[in-house]
Amino acid sequence: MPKREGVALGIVAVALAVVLPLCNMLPPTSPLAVSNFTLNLFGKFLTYAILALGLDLLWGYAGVLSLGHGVFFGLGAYAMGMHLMLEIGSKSVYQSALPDFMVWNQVTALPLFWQPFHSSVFTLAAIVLVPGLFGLAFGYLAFRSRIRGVYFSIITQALALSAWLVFNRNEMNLGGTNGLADFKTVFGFPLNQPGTQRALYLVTALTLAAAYLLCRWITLTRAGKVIVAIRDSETRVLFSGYSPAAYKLFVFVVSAVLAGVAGALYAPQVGIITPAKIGVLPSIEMVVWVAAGGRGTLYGAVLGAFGVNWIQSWLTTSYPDFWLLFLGGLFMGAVLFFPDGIVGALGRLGSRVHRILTKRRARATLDGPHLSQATHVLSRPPSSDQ
Amino acid sequence: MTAGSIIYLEDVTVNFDGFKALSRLNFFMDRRELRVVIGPNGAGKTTLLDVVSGRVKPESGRVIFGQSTDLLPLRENQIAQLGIGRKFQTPSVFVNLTVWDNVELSLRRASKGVFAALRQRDLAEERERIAHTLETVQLAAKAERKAGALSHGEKQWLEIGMTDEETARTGELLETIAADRSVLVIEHDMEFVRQIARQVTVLHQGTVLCEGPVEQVQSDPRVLEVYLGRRREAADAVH
Repeated sequence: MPKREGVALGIVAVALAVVLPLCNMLPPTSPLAVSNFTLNLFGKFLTYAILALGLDLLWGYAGVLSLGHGVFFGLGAYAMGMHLMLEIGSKSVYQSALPDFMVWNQVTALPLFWQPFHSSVFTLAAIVLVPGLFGLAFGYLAFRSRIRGVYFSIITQALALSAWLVFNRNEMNLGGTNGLADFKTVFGFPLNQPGTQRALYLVTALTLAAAYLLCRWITLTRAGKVIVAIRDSETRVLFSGYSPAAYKLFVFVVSAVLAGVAGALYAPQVGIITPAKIGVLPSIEMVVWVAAGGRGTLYGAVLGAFGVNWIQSWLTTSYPDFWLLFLGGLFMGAVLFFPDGIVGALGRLGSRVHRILTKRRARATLDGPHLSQATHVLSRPPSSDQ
Repeated sequence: MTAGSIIYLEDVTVNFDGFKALSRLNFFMDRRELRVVIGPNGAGKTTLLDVVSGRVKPESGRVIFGQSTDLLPLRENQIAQLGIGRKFQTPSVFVNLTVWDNVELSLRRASKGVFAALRQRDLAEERERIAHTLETVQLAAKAERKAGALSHGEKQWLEIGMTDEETARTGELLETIAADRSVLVIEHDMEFVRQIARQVTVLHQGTVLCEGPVEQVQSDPRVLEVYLGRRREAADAVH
């Protein structure tokens, strides 16, 4: 990893994983205090950032645009949510061992596929394996048939739509439109305690750091070069002896697993997971985070996920009507004016400022008193008068 | 040592929705041969290369590499691993990677799978080979530059270096390349063909029209009719 990136990553990691939780432990009267609400909000943003990393690896590096990553996020979130529902036990509204929605739907026995989610070990494995294996199967079929470009994007969008329809059905025994909610404890710790939320936040921050290192490591290996090469010329990759399908499948599965883990961390912190997080719209929003932050850099994706959602939570409370306009404008702006995202735009601005400064410094040395007036005029670069 | 054939196509038919790009084509090339394939548009020249490199699978026929390697069940990347390199007409390089990385990815290796590529480290011997290849195609000074920043001609050279780094090592001319490998060239420029070709194959409507030394092919009346036909008509018009 480049040294500068390592240092920056370290600073951000300490700020997010150490300083913020510590500030949260301060008494609310302290000027540096971070409220439970804010910490929880940041925790949610961090789960989004984990997902955005995987999406950037897939889109920004391999050039494969998925419009269906909400599905993998949902699979992880529902796997976690099912365990949390079972943890509620008979403390639910109907005081039945079954989740409340099953009582409403007159389901008398826990469906077979719910049973293993009593086990927390099984749940933790499912969070990784369910999105991973689903991504493997879907990606295998798509990439083996050489579905690429916009066709692949359309198929993933269809996937998001069909998954949304499936999860909405009450017959699926997954809570239908209302999803899974009213969680009480996570692995035995009460969710309404600030300490539990703080621990969840910390786990999320550390997972994000680990995910970042994983993705960066992949991009720095030879496999990472092959992945970028696929974006440039898939045919050339093929005739260089590599199988683009295998590499794309690998990246697709990694991004699916990251999305699933993000979802699993999302569910207990937000307290609810519904099909509304799975469909076409949230999946496209995820792409907007990466596009707005800057593709193909990893840190751009993290910045985008964090920034866009921060603005969203501010706008939806202060100017609720404005949010969708803003989101649409952001996407159009990203496409038309800053295709390389905030990161790219800032980089260009930075190099322009740098150029102007070095020019000025060069001129300042020439402007010394020993120079004649004529030299002074001549030494001005032609653009500086504009 | 008698060389034997390196590429052997028997009765190959490629059918694109009713259009026979290749029709019961028989074609073979000897080891260390430099063969030029010519023919009018739509004769099946590119399809022939596509079949050899695995891009197009024929409807019927046999495609054998070397003594007995059947190429039909293999995918493009597996065929490339056998040592069949392909250089495209328009330069095709990885524009977002450095010149060095472009050559690095094209080196022949025991495994080019994902998990092997995640573990592989750069070996000193490989670095030497890459440096040598870049030296020969005269891009050593631009090794750290992105390939997208190269000029059209430099990209062509880079791709020649990538198609076969050994190629670039031995020399510039196709003839010298053919000294220790077999080369199949698709060419339109007749002047160039005259310069380099020993053996020429003329394709027409998906089959071999005639084959032989360049002078013989040029004087063959069938070739004149289908391939150089227009020139003769033009000549007739003058008289």
